[in-house]
Amino acid sequence: MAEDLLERPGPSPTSIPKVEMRGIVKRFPGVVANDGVDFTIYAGEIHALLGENGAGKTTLMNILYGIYTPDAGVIRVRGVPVRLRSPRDAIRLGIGMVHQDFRLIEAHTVVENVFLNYDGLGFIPKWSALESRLEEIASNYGWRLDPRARVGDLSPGEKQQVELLKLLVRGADILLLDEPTSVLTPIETKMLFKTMRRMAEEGKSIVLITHKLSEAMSVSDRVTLMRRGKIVLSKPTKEATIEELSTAMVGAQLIGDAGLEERQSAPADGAPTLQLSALSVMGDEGVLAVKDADLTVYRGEIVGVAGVSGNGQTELVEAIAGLRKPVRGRIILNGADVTGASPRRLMELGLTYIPPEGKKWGIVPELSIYENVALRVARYAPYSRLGVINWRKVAEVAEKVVSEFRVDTASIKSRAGSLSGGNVQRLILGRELTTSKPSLLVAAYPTKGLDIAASEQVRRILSKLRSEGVGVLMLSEDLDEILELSDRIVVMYGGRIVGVVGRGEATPELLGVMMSRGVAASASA
Amino acid sequence: MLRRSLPGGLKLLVRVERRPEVTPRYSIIVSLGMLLLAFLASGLIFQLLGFSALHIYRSFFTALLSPIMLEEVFRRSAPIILASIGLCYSYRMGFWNIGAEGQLYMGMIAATGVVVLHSAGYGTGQHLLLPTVIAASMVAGGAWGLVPVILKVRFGANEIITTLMLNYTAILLADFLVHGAWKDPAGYGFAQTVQFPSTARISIPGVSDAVAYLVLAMAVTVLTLLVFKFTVFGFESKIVGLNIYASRYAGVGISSILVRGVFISGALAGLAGLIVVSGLIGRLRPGASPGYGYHAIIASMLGGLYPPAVFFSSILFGMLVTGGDLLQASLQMPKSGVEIIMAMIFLATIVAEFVKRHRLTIVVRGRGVVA
Ligand SMILES: Nc1ncnc2c1ncn2[C@@H]1O[C@H](COP(=O)(O)OP(=O)(O)OP(=O)(O)O)[C@@H](O)[C@H]1O
Ligand SMILES: [Mg+2]
Repeated sequence: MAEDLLERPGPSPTSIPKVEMRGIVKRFPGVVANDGVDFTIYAGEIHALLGENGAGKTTLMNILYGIYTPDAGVIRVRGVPVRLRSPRDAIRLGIGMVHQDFRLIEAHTVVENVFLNYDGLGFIPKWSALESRLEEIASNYGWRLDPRARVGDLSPGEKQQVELLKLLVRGADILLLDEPTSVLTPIETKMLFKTMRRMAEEGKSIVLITHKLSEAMSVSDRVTLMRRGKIVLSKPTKEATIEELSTAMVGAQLIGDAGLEERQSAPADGAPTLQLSALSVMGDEGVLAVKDADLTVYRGEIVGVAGVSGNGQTELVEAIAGLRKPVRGRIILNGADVTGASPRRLMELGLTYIPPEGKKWGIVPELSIYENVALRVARYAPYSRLGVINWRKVAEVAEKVVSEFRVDTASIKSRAGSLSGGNVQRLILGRELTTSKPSLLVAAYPTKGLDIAASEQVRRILSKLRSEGVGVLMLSEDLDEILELSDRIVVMYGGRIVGVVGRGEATPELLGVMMSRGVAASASA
Repeated sequence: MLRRSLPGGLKLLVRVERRPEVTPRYSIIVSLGMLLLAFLASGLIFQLLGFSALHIYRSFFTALLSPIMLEEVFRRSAPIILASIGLCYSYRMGFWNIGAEGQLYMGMIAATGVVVLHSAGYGTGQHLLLPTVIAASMVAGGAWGLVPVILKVRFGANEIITTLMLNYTAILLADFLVHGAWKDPAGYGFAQTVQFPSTARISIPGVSDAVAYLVLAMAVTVLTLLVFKFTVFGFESKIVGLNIYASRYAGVGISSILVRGVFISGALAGLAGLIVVSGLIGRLRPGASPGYGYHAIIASMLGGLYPPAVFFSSILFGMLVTGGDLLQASLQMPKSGVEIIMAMIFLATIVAEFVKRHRLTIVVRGRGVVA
């Protein structure tokens, strides 16, 4: 390992780059995901990699991590040309990656996850030694992480730390983080950035993929922007401006488009579409995750649910969607008692649900895009009659979904698993919103993984639905988004709804206090 | 990963990586290649045991392809095809039903029950006998398949274990009946039931049994292909097998799909049982099936759960079963010789699955070169 580089703190473009990728080309059937990409990573820098959905960011990092072999181009690590044939090769060279979706085994402990598939483990692992090693690394970064905790019990921020530990124990000093902040709350994001700075000071290099320009501006030393497989801009962050980046990213198309400005105020006489009374829901660990929740969502309003993740929000929406049976309380949808009803019944009564983990719940990666659309509609006319599917009709609506939600794909016959992270989310949103006429939309993190333009589009769709009289219940980690869209904001803490704040009264500070301490503020339900 | 040091500081490395996508063509090539390997490996074993593999294979296949033997091959293939096509319904849902043998036995028992009652003067007239035995065998096989489904849905019991145990239950039940209540009084004390009347046999006027069975098996295969491709049930059963979360989310009635799929699976095994008792041996007796239900498992896997391919791999097993008797009669080799081949095919199928999903590369690595 090039020890001399480790000693030199801070980015210094004169030194040999840690990683140099030159002329990288990667083609997939029907797309050029990377089209002659040059990408350089220096020691001690945080390098933000930006770009719209499907721009080729993940592909580029997967190549550097040895998951894909490039069709053309060279990679040099610390000046030496290398051929990376598998993640093992990458890890040996000190390159580690945290994927867009966590790859952890929930039932195992932190230490088991970290040392899974670890080379120096021996036949009978000495767990206590390994545990203390973890504790040492964790405390170095100021993390409070119990090595013996079950990963399933951890918050997303802590899971991220486990993923980072996996890389650190293997000696990684080039860390590729693919949209690490998309699942984190603002506080967790701040923690992560502090860690990243610390690592950079130690001489490690970090690539941060994100869709949030403000994050890139605040934490990175250098920004690189991709569009359609090519690099369109790469410069020190100091010399870049948000305006410049956003223009380069989306072109001039959307910025300044005042779609959201013309929001109608909520129809005051909306009837209730969803009523929860004293709803309690069990979490995965056998403790109550939602306790005595009372909530009403009226037609024609958006109710935002704010809270640090792990405070019962997911369980709440899963119960409403029929994926989790409540232990107590009642759920009423458009006047009908639907407590414990099946997802299908709820769907047929007017509920549309956007799940939090799209890749796990929302799609079947092995199947084509049109089959994934069929997943939702196959049972109903005109897509099937007497149990026989009309694949032509399905294909028609799939084409519509793909074009209206700009799902970036070669064809509707492509595997859904080949879509980029943001495009999976577009497919789910597109399918749910084009094929249903909901009276209640429950959307968990609807803009997760979406680029700026697509997030805008989704927010606009949400307000349009509201003005059409749909009741919307929305989870989001993004407080700005919640503040921007919601007519009322519900704050959850420790499984309880600790307050409902009206549109006028809500401020980030107030919500922040309620989210972190559970102090009930003035209720205006 | 496998590592070998070679002279001169070179290292030989075999790496295994997951292959992101498997094309159907590649998958067929791998399966056929592995099949060939299975025959080669079995040949090697025969050779080591002092037989001439070439001689065995040559006489084996020339004999099997003669008109008379071919007819026998098709007769014997029929129950395997029906059962293995049935298993496709289970396996595509991720329900690891290894109970086709038991379901087949239940089909035999039910059909025989109807015939025993009939010969005792109860029940239907001659013209209703065939529909009755068909219905009885299919319902019995299907219902036997449902037991593990219920145990799974209700109590989370692992179907691999329950279906296996129910095989023994069904086989022993058949033994119990033929040794006892259903023993043919005019059978000179042999443990067997009365002969099936010709009115209880599936046949097509003017053609041989073999052709009739083959037509039936083909019809079931084509129908299954259509069900898989074009029906909501076929589609949803695939979803259940691929992603249980997405199925729940999409509102697929998982239990109802499981119940329907496994019932069809068992019913087809039951129908296979009917063909065995009514056509192949004409009555129920102990060991009536030489393991058709187990052969069907391997055949459906070898065919990659794709009905037309399963059809042909089942015929291959029909050949092996028929050829077993041949080995014994003409080559003085124990009948179980074919079981070596079957076992090899089974192993090859498992290896083929692995090979399809992974990429093997062999790298020779010099000193000091960073790979
Ligand atoms: N395994 C694959 N097979 C086929 N096409 C693929 C595959 N992986 C990626 N692609 C395609 O390559 C392009 C780039 O995808 P990539 O995942 O790199 O985008 P991204 O910049 O990470 O986008 P996002 O912000 O949505 O995560 C997309 O059009 C995608 O559909
Ligand atoms: Mg990506």
